[in-house]
Amino acid sequence: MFRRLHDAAKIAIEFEGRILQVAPHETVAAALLADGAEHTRTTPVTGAPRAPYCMMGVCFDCLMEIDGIPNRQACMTRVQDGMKVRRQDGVRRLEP
Amino acid sequence: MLPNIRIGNEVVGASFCPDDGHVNPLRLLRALHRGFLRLGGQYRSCCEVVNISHEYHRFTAETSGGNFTAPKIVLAAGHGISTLAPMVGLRVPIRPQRGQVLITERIEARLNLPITDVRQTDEGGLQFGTTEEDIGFNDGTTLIDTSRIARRAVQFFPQLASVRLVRNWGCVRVLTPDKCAIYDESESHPGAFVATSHSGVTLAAANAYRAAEWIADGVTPPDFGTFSARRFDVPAAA
Repeated sequence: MFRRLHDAAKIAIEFEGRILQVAPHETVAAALLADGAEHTRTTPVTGAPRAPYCMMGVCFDCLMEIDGIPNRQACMTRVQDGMKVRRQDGVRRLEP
Repeated sequence: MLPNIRIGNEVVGASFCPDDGHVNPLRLLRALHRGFLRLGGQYRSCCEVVNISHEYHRFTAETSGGNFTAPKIVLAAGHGISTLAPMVGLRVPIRPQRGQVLITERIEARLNLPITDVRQTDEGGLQFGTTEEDIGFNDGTTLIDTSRIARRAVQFFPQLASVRLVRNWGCVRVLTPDKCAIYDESESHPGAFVATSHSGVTLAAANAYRAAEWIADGVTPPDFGTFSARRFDVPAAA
């Protein structure tokens, strides 16, 4: 659905175990939308699937687990080579 | 009593009251609006009251959105009461006091009891705070206070150290000299009532039931006279 306007040199990130080639200036949310990700989290209360929405740090619908840290805003986080991204599956667990 | 979270070593004791509870202010506001509309009420926003007049047992509130007339009028306008109360012969001593709070990301349910300064809402967010600052109507935030609030929460519950904050704000309380609510009816303008408390959320049950019946039906609940602002009057010297 989304297409990149320009071709750029790519770096690699991992999304749910899958390697994606993404442009280094992109946010995690933009990179995943360009890749066609259907949803990037499920909600804490009802478990409904959600995807990035406002793309400007306000709506918190793009929360993901990025490099092991849960509930990060994917639209406010720029991709880095080797970054590991997972869906935020429902509510964050607290470490024991 | 808190089986789902580890309590910090610096905590040496606690008190418990079975009557304590938590009211979610967002859900409360929505419930009050729905209940009000269901009972036939009309909510008008952006109607700043500029004057209240009293003629033939009827009050007229002159507002920026037109005039509204009724046999009874209730001042429940926070600090706006200071301007409005003298118009109907009420004296309501209130002052501003700032409180700052912090809100975290949503996490799994860990706190099954509301605790002073640390509580978890039904949707998982934690609320930390607060402060008591006498700096007028300034509703800003300060790093020194927010960091102290956060440090205190982590002292209580060390597992919260990794939980991230998503918001913080300052808000101005409406405080009486003894911090307790004022419920009063004007002696010179019968039918004019004032209801003010810090906070309308904490005292939601009293406001929605006891105070509402007192105003609408004239049924004075037991000991309600205690809440008159006359309690602040100094008795005449003998």
